[in-house]
Amino acid sequence: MNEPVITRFGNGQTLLSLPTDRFKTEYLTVQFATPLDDAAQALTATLAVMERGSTAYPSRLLLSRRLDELYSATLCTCNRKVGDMQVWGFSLDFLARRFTDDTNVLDAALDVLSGVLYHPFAENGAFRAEDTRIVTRELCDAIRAAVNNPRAYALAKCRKLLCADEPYARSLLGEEETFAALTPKALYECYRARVAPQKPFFFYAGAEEPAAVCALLEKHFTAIGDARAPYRAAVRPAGERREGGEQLPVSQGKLVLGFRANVTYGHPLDAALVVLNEIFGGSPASKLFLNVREAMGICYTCFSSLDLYKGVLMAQAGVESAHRAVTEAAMLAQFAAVRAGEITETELNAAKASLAFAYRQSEDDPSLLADIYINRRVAGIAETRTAWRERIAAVTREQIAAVAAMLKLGACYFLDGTLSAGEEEA
Amino acid sequence: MHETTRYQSDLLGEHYLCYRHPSGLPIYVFPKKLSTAYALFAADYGASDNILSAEGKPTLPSGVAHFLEHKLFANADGSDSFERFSALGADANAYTSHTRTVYLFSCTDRFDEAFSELLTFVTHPYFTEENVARERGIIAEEIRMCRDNPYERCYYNMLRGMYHTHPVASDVCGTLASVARITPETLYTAYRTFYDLSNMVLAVCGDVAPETVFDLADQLLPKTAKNAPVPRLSNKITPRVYRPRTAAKGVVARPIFSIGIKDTAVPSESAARVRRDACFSVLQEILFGPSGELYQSLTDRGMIAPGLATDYVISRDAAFQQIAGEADDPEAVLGEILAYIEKMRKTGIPQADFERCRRVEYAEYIKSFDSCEEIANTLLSFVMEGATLFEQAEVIRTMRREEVENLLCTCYRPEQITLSVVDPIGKGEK
Repeated sequence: MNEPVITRFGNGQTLLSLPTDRFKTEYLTVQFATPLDDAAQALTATLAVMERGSTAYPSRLLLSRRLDELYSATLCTCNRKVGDMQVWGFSLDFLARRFTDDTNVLDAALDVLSGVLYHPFAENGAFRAEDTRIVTRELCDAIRAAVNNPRAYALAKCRKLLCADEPYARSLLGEEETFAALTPKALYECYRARVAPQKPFFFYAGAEEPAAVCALLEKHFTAIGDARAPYRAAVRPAGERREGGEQLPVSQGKLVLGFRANVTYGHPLDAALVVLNEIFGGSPASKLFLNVREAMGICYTCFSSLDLYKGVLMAQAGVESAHRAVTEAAMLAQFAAVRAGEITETELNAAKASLAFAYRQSEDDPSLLADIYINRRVAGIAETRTAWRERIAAVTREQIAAVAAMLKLGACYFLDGTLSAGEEEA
Repeated sequence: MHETTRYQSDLLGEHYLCYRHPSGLPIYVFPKKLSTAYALFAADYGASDNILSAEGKPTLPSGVAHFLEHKLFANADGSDSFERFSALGADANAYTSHTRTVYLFSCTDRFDEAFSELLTFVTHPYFTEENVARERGIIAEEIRMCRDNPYERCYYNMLRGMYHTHPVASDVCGTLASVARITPETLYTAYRTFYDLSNMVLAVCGDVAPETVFDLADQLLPKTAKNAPVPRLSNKITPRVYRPRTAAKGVVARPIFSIGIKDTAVPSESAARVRRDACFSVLQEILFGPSGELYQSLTDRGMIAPGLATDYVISRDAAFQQIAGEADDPEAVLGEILAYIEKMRKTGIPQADFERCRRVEYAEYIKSFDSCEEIANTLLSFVMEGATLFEQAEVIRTMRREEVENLLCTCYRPEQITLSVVDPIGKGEK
């Protein structure tokens, strides 16, 4: 699939689009980028309140039913971190016109979306108290429910340890203690200060011509702001290793090792870091999978993942607590092997093949493509994905060893499962 | 050219072909111009198939189907097919359910080589004391991981609440004790009994030439199969649930629940089963969907967390509805659900609600044809049920409100319902 078409419209707006009739579902998203800071939690809550209704559809029930009428169009909130930015907004997916009774679903769905964004239901300078109460309660529950997923819980704890005192360590849901400050008035203030003035990133994948989509965006988005926060991502090597952990009454422990390097997108060794992650723990052909999971037979999950916008690599394993030390030693031994350049031709080729697969696989997922392209624009990356793919293919063993030398273990977190064997079978 | 049966949907502008391999193996190819191709090789053998003869004896330890799924990737030359797929840039995986075991890969390049690898490793088992012993450790950790997943635990407790010790409620992975009893011989026995090509299905979706798929199957698969009858469960499902309530404790912030509603009036004819499945989807959308009054009321009052999950499962051995979520008082939520159903029974389903939810079902059906993975998996489910993939569209088009109301009036009797809850573990509790 080609690079997205860039079309300018209105007062300095830009639409990225992938004109295609390959899909029966079309996709449009409107996203914004603001600094990841103390207002992140309020912004998350504000988005949730906005999703509960607009002046045209003033309740979640009415909004939801309107979307059902539009052939089950889906309106979703986006909210994620890119570097030390919070990237957020709304997306729509809906049936292509050829599967409807010739309804222009895009036009109608944009009417709903623009209402949610620019005409939220508010009275006297505040959101409805009831909406705020429901949203803050649901977000509080979501924070508490993090423990329901021990793997994600341990990962978040290690990330926090690794990047302590940096915005990146912050959860987009925030902390329970600060929810009291999220009043209907405070959230509406957040809306006015953070949402309304921002300049959006638009992305569309579907059968309509870009010019026709731009015309609809101009029609519905009449109150677009022009603020655009500069990109930021504090990049630094890991400091001294930090230890963390806690005990929970679960059967399996979760070991997470957090590494970081001052290498992110744009660094000369960025592609090498991506290939390194793939070789270390990114696929079933990786060192962690083959040499720790398969060869030692003491863990079911053992893999690594990379956030290239932050230069943070996390390796994790689910192990019986008794095997913690031996697993940690084995994982670090595999990392040492990568660092020593002990990478076979087979490993290097498999890693590149896996990344080439992921690249082409993303072409089948417009929402994933949208996030990829928008992330790159947020971070100011001008390089095309094709050029990026070629750089990945050209990465050498020496470059991997060089970037491995910059990557340092900065945090180790262990969630200690305290259930004994007998209790497990109960 | 191979002799094939063609299935066409004018609504979707799609088609697929079926070729019957000389062994009896049906091979389905759904051409689709997307970047990723997806192939599945499935055995009609799952966790609930634990008997080795029609008489019901002997039985296999629980978890054998899943153990086999893990170990089939091992090859006699010491290599692992996962690595071979990786070398080709293909992403391989496998899964086991109660009624089937599925080996799969997706790729964007070198399809022929990856497909050949799939056909080869699934038809060449190689189990040794050493590789089986090592796998026990890996599976033990998978069991522990699943046990720590409160949603999964709640789900299995719901199954046991409905079916007690019937194999349809068994743990797919088995238990630490049952896995310890599995030997290479156990795996070979299960393989010989259930992995006959006449008891298997191949399904491919992607930008591939059907003739290439059929040719490779001709070259790489045995031409004959035993075609022996596969032993199946004979113990009947009772209409009542085993127990109405099951409680457990786990690491959760607030209680999670899973309501199971047994469906024992399942028709045997495949077209009627497809129809029942679609009618249940529409009914669940009406009763529990996010545009329904009940969902809005329960979430607005904070009785449930957002995201009530509903499903209707229909398989060769059992059928049931599931409603799952998080709530401080799951018992009260069940009460609200039953009261709402009673109210709907009295007032009837409004025609507008029926039409809205039927439209949602139609749209979701169309949307499901945008992913090779989803198409291949759905195709597999339908053909293993004896149905065809495109008949659902006609069912949705011709569905009547009265059919859905009939389900509403007959399928929520108290003796059919069980509630499974996982409560938060208290401080200092184990």
